Amino acid sequence: MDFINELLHDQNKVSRNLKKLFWIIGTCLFLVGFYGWIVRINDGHIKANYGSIVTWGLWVAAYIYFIGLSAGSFLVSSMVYVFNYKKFERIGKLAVFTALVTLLMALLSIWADLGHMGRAWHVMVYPNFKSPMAWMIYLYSTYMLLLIVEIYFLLRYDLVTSANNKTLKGKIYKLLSLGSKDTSEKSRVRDKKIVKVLATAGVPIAILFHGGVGALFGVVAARPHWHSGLFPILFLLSALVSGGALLTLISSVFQEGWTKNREIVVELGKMVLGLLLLDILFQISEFLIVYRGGIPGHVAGWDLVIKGPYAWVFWGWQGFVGTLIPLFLLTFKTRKSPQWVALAGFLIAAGIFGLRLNIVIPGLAVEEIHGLTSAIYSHRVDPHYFPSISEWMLTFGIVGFGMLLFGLGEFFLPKSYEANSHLSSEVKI
Amino acid sequence: MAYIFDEKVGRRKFIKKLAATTGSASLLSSTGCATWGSEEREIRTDPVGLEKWGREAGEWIPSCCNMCGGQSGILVHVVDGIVEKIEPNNWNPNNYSNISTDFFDGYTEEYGTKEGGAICPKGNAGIMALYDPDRIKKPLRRRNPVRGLDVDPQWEEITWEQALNEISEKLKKLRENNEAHKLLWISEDHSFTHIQADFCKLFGTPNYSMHSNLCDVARKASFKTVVGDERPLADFIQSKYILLFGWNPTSAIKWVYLPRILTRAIERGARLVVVDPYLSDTAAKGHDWLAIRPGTDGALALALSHCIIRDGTYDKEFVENWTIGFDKFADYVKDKTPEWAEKITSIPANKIEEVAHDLATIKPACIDFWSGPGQHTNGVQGGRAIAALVALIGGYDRPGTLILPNTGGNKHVEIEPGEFAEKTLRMPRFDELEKFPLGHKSGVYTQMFNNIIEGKGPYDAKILFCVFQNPVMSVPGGVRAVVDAFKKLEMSVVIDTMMSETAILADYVLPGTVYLERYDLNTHWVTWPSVGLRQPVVKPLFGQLAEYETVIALGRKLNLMTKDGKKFFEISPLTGEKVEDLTKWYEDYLSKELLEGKAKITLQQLKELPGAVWVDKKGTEYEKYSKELSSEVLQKSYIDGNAIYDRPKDKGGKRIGTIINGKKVRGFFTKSGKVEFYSEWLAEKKDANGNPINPLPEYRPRDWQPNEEYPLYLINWKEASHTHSRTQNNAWLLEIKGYNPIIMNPVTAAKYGIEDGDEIWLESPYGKVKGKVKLTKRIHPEVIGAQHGFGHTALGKSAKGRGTNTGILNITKSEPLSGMAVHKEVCVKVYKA
Amino acid sequence: MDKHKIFDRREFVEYLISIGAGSLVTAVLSSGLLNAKTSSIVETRPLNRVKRKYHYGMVIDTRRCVGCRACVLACKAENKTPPGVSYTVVFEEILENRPNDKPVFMTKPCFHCENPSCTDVCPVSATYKREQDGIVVVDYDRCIGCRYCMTACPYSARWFDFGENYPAIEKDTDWSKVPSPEYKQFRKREHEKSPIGNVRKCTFCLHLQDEEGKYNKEEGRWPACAKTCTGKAIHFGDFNDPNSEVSILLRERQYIRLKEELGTSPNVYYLI
Repeated sequence: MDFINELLHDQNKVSRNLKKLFWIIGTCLFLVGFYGWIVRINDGHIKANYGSIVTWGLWVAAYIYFIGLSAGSFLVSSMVYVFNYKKFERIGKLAVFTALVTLLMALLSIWADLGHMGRAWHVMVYPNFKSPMAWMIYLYSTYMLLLIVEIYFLLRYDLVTSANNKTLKGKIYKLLSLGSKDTSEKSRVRDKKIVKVLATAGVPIAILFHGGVGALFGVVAARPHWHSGLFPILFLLSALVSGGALLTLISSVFQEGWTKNREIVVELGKMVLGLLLLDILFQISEFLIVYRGGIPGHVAGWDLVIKGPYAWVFWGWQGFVGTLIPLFLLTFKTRKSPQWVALAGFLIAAGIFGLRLNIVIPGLAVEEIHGLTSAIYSHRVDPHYFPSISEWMLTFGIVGFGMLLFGLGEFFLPKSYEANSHLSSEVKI
Repeated sequence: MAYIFDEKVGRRKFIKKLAATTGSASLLSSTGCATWGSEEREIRTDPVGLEKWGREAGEWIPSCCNMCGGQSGILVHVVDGIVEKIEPNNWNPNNYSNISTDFFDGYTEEYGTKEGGAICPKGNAGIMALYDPDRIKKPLRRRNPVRGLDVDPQWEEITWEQALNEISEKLKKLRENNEAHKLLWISEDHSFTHIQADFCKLFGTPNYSMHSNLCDVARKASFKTVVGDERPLADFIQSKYILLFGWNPTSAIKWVYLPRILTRAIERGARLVVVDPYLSDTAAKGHDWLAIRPGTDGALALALSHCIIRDGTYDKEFVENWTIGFDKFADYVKDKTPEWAEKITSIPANKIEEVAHDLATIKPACIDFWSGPGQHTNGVQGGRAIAALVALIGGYDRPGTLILPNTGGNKHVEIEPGEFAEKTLRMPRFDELEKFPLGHKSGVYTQMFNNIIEGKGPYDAKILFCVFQNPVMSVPGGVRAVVDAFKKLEMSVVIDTMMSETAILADYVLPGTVYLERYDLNTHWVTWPSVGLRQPVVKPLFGQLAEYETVIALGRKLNLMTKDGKKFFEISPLTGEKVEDLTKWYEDYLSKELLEGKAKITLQQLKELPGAVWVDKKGTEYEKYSKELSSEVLQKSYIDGNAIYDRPKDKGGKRIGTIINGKKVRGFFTKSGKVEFYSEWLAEKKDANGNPINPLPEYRPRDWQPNEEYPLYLINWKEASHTHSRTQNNAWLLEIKGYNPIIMNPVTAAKYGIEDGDEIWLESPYGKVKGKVKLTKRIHPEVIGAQHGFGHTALGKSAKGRGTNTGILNITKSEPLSGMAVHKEVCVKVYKA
Repeated sequence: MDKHKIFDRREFVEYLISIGAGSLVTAVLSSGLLNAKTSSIVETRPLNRVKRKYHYGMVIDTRRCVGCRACVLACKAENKTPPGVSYTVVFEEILENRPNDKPVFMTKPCFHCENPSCTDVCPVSATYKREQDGIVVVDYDRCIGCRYCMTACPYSARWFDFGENYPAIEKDTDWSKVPSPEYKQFRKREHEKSPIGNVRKCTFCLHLQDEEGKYNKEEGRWPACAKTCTGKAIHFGDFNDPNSEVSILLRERQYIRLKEELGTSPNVYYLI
């Protein structure tokens, strides 16, 4: 404890150190990812450990995790840009940017998971409107466009004002400003309006597509573990929890960290606590109904979660680390300290990944027909699944990529949040 | 650059643009819409590929399978010299039924049998045997004088010419020293056996042995003594009550008609009862499973006989007219009550009563047994008890019972060896087959290997030829006995397709052929004469000689001659003219066999028959024993006592009949011409250990009984997935059975604290092996077992290290009457690894 | 709640409304999808509901099946499927409380359901049920390999081609030259090319149909599993033809289908 206190004494130093750590980890993970990508590109799926029984693995879990982070972050940002919730103003852009970065991470994950990466465009050309997956893809494509446009208008003024031909930064800003030169007050008001429209449109889209991801699983009647009406709601809730939690962490490290964002972090902590409690409520109701209902097919999935070979994911990772400790940190005195809240945010965000794994894999690992997995002697026909090295590496790489992209964005993009926040209080739409 | 987001464009315009973009996106989508939900859609096809590789391309060549010894008919699709697919041959009875009426019902020349044939998984997987990358491709010569299963032989590739020269040189030397009998030759028992037997005969060794003594010679011996025929065949399909002892016909398929006729019998109302320590896949189809202690089948059969005789429900007409020794037998079983048998077999007495009642009252009933009861030291007598039970219910040669064989189509033409060979041919056999009163011509492998090691044979063995056999894995305790034996030989030659555990020990390894690369004639094991052709559908992949060609080539190099001074392997057996080509010579040899046999056609004519199979139109005959011999047959016959032969006995005459009450009928080919409950002939004999033999089918416990230290019986069995120990490198078969779990009853496992999936040790006084446990109530609680054939240390990359070889735990020993290897007589202890 | 005043109340309500609206749309959307599936549970449709030329299906006699797995390998030999891909499997069902764990053998190809749950989920319509004969197929050129259909099939009848090969192909023996006749496309599996990276499944060996879409048992143009079956347990045919073997069997015998409750209406029946 002394060590931590001492460390926290010089808050700026801590913040700097944390950022340094962030860059180091991000770079390492990114580099590690090359191995995963090379294996994926060269050998296809041979080195992956999923099979024809557990046919979705780490990458799909990572996908729904990242996309949840994205939806969650975006919805938090919408509090600023749709509902004018001013307390979060300072991190508004950061939240939107986080949503974009995590969305890209999600798309990379699911792209790697495709049997034919080169055919991703088929979804646009050969649509099947009966497929929840097709809908999900259309929705997140729209969402991505929307995010990009929104970010542009959020940053346009700053880009234009900082653009020049002298420094590297200036050149980048010029490029990113897409040639716009208008710095008039009028244009800023217009930007603001566009952002509001986009953000407003974004809310139902984010909810739709992430609820849609839940529906994608929920409609699969063949998998009792997924086939629950609660799924779309559960997905949304855990997205909000994980997104909010990630933002607590981010806002205590970036944009001058907790020294400046103290209030926001603590405020976010409260929100995350509320959402987390709601999420737990839903989880428990799902759990109770499954066990009280007692239908073997339904129970089997949950049995795997709580008693299976990877029960530690549920009890240790998701339960203890990702839920219990953060609950403690967010409820007791620590809830007022941004450092502890940030830690809680980190743990929750990490814990939700366990939750994602526990949705995807147990749903598939239950034999659909008893005795099926012993009918063929093949490692592809096996209910046991643990991701292979290359699967991990690729996933780490995506995390590293996300971290670097985020770091670069945070570094390069103008830090005029002060001015902007100042303005936003004046401009009324 | 005209940027769109400046105020000149304005919001309205921006939105318009946006709409336009999305509009174009949806337009793009709508091009796909034509195919959306489009059930009429056609997937593109490849007409070029169809022409090159489709069913109409290439040839469909009829042949016979040899993935196991079953020899079922196959059709092989060959395109561009590549085997594309193997399918059932619809004209071959072996793929359909063993009863002619069933076979011919709906049969057409054009399409074959009504329902079409079948082939088992192994037959389908023949392609993977042919194209196994681990096959031996070139003749190999050993450089490392040290021998062992884990010793690198340091192979050196040599040419065929060199290999044949070196081997024949050594053979020549042996022969010149008048030691021809010191050549031991072992082979598989369904392929090219005749030519190997001829070679051995002309070379001058009496020591040609075959696989059968590892398989079913106990069954052969049991039936031989009781009904005078070695291999009666079960007519399941017409039966109404089927009792099987230790046989798993639907899974250990062999003849692929078995699953069909057995399940069809059940469908037509037959009751199937299976006696087996393991609820085999056959028992899974049955109505009742009698979980018996291993090696006690004889006791059960005696108790069943007891009940039937006690109740007077036996077939009195048959017993009176067609059996001898009934009174002695009835007397013997008087105290063999169900209660007596319950103690021995662990089958409840009331269950025995029930089965006895059904057996005697449901007609026709079919009783049969195979290797289960036979592979113990009391195997033959146990089998005789079952054969006697069959006689009690009149269960021979009637529809729906055990049919006396009437096989054939080709005939092994007897040859007379030259004088030089005669001398050594008269030497006793090295494996002391003569000591086994019911020994089979296939010899006694266990005794042979033991004699080599211990030097106790009638003479020293010097050279061993091992063709298409892997005794290290297939002889009980082979990992010790066979390895040690190979160390003592002067030279050993193995001909095989795979680098088996045995091949690794040899001085020379010659690449063999897979059945798709060679010829053979297959006498089909159905109840009427039929012979199928195996023919090369592709050329040997590595330009290697077929096994028979190797034999012919060696025979030529050794100048082997028949009595008339002709070089046997150089002149055509058909035309008597000199033939250079090895394959052509063998084709003529096969033609000769066909012409001399029942088929009376040439090889070429056989090839042209539908499905390349000759089937006698006369079909199955029943109650042959009561049929009087025709005057035509009798004219050429030769009579010895009451027995009638087709030729003088010393000239290889075959028994064709018996004189009973003055009538010349077929009868049974026993001494009395009738079914013998009591064998006078056996009474005069001693077993291999020098002990007297009970002429009645007595029950005597097998030698090796469980004790406190080794409390569990260990058995093994075959399943449809693999043939013996030779298919475990077949990639497809490994996918349907990748290893052999140790099967154990949960009650037993609980006693030893063993759980499902645990690794355990099995230990006997002879060794210990590790295995993975599968718990199931399908096995008798006192017994553990596993599928035979796994646990390879060689054979191929895929086979290595899979599953467990329980043969390690066994002793190299045979049943003392028949020479049957006692694979199933082991007791072990188990503990967690 | 007052103590941790996260939102201004009005804003909070607005926010909730927004979430609610989104959820509602999601719910409507997904319920629409569900409707399409569930409607079939209520209706019982006659077999020849769809107007089409043929209605292929199988009737598998569990009493005749001996569990030998010849069908599994005949299928492999016919379709040249790679390791781990097995369009049909034989599983041993151990019925609870059945004495001695006596198994029931069942061979399980694709059921080519009347209401397949796999086709509707495909995001690119790569897998669909053919109008002319009801066979569920995969268009390898279109399939992106997302494997959603595999999760949606309640019978595990779909398999992903990971690109693995048997040693005979890895080591370039003659066998590696043989293409798969599937869909009459005669593809050779080459690195990263379809069908590697695709979802694969039983096609009732439709490549053996003639131009008109008919099979012929006598000529061997018949599903490979049915052809090789050692117990002659697999009956194949056209349910539209009242005199076909399969129609007669359904008329005369007792049968079950697997997981009827899901409303998929399989075209493979098990005689019991």
